[in-house]
Amino acid sequence: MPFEFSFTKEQEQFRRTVREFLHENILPTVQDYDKNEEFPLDNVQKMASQGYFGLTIPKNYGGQELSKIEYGILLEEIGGICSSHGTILGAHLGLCATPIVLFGTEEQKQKYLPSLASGNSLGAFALTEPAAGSDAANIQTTADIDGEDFILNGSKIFCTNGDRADLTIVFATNDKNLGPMGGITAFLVEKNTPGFSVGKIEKKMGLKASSTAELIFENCKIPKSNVLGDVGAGFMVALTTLDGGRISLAVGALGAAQRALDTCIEFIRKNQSEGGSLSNRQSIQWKLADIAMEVYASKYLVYCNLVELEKYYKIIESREKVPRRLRDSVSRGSAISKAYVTEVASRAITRAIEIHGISGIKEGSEIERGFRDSFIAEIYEGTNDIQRMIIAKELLGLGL
Amino acid sequence: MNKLSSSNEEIEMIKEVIQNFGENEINPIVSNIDDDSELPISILEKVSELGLYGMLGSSEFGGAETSFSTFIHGMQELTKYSPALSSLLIFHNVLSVQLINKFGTDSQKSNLLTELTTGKKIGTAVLGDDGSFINVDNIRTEATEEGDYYSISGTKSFVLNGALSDFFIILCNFGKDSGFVFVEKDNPDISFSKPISAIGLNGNELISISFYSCKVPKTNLIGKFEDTPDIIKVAQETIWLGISAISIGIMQSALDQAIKYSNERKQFSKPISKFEAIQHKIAGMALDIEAASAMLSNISKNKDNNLDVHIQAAMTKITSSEMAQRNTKFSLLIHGGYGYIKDFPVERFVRDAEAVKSLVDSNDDLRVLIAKHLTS
Repeated sequence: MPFEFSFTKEQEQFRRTVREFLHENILPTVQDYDKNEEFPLDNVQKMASQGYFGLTIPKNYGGQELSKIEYGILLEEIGGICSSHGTILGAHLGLCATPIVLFGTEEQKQKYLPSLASGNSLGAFALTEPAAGSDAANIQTTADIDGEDFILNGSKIFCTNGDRADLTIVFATNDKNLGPMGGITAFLVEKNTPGFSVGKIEKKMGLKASSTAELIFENCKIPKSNVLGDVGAGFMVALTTLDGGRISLAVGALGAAQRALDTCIEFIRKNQSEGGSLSNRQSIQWKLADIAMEVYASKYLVYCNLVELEKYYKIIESREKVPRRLRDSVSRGSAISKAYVTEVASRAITRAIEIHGISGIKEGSEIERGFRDSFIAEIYEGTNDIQRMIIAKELLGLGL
Repeated sequence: MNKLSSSNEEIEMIKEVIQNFGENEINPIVSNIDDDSELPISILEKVSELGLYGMLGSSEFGGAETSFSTFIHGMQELTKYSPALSSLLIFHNVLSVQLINKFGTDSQKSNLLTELTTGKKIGTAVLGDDGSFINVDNIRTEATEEGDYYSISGTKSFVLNGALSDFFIILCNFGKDSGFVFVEKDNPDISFSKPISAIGLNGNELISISFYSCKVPKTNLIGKFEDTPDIIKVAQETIWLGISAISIGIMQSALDQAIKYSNERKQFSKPISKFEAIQHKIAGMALDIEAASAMLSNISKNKDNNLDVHIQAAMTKITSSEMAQRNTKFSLLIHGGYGYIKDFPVERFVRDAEAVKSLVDSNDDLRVLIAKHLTS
């Protein structure tokens, strides 16, 4: 069997356990958090108590040391019940803890990973700036060297968990003349560092239970020991992190699409049991089939990419040289997954509204929330236009 | 006194009036309408002063008596400022003013129409029990004769203008016939659901209404039973055209914002409007708007010329509501992260377009109607 592709018994069991936990403990609360635009602190603690916040962190540092496949299963299941919760976890584990695992010094790992793994502290990742959105390399936040410290000045926007995080990875330019490769550095910035403050909290269309903050740095002093990776190598830290982040977004979107499908099936069956005709209408059947086709294809796509990501991250973690072909393949694969599956999810939710009719747009319905949540997945961690650019340039060998 | 053609001057004049109103009075408060789900009294008073409540009513009864084309162009323009307000005026004009004007008795006109054309009362109509306009064959809202009254029992869901209306024209089953009667809000035998909050069009909420042996004088019957198919047809085609006008207005706002943003926003050292991927989205939006506007404008003219537009109206509703969904999303995507936050209006356009698309009749049902017409 040269091409075997299935979950292990343990992974299937893991999915069942996660689903049961989420449906029992988290799902009943998510609508209220969304409605009240409130950060779900209780749920974060509950999920942390299950080890979710340290799922892929090595056991030495208090994590569960599970693979990217289990991480995918977890995010898929969370994505099915609430994208806000998936985003909170993704920003914490995928974008903050993971780069520390990959690039951190032993000292940094010991200092930060155990509390991140237990969920006692929350992580965030701050790359985007007003002038550095799609053009992520155009970072204006500066990091000037001052003896044993760097001094950060500037601001970051749209930072998930930004106002809640105990630790944030912040990207700044140490030397603009050197360009992105050489001139950008990643810093580990602790909450309450003098000169670091939280600015505006955004009001959003969706993801209302996750907070999105502006971060402000005014002569914020960060010791050299808090540089993550090498000085000047920050952009590679960001890109490598986002390679994983994008697949995580895709797998969350897959969960949302699967949930839309399940909800439609439930809705149509209920209509049938009440004597309705939806189940026999081809317009309804076709929409359901279209959702199912795309969900099925997406599932293979993202888990295939997660297998490759696992391999890729293991090499980086062991500090061996990453083969160029593997790096390009992961980067392209994550871009393909992210753009494709987030659009699949958007189409699924739009079709779900059509299947549900007017009741699908009622405030407080799961479908309505899913619709509002769906758009951001096509935008954050690189818009789908940027993903298409990455895919095409990689295929044509144009370089970024 | 039906005007059979509209002049371009009349259309330009109404557009100018609405632009002034929109820029000066609506724009400053438009995001409050969405946040609070409420159209402020000051705006509604101004609407009355401008005569917009009575556009489709005879001048004899205080109406402006504009052509249907003028009305549609005006509402398309007003939508750019507030889809909640334009939807209120479209539903009111089409479903109360127009129906009473066309089918009402003399005494209904003299008693009611002036109040409706001046906005003293806001009205609506409801056909299918499920809020649809097309499912009119199995009405279970029953009206039985009791002396000088009809006694009505049943429920109507997802009533347009529901939360704001004082006056409801409802389609009932009278045994072997079906027909329309009007019921006033203060009738003691009806109860209203809470306003139904939806994903968009905040400020003009739907409502469900239940009738419990609700007594209505026989004089509240609109038209005769044999008029019922005509009333249904007029209500259907004009509501579809009205929804089309809202869809196109929302798309136009989405395009305006996309153009503005893409010219201002610089990434990779140039305005993003210089990138082909953005240009194609903008061009695609403009293509759709051009096509949908031409379609709606043409069909409205045909309607003014008393041609049968029933099927074309259904086509226009499908086309423009699906285009609005697609193009508001393009605009949001062009805005990137800024499109997702409430500081920019585009996320509201997306929600409004989705709400409008889901109102009244599903596009699936309308496609079946068109196909049946073509294949019968």
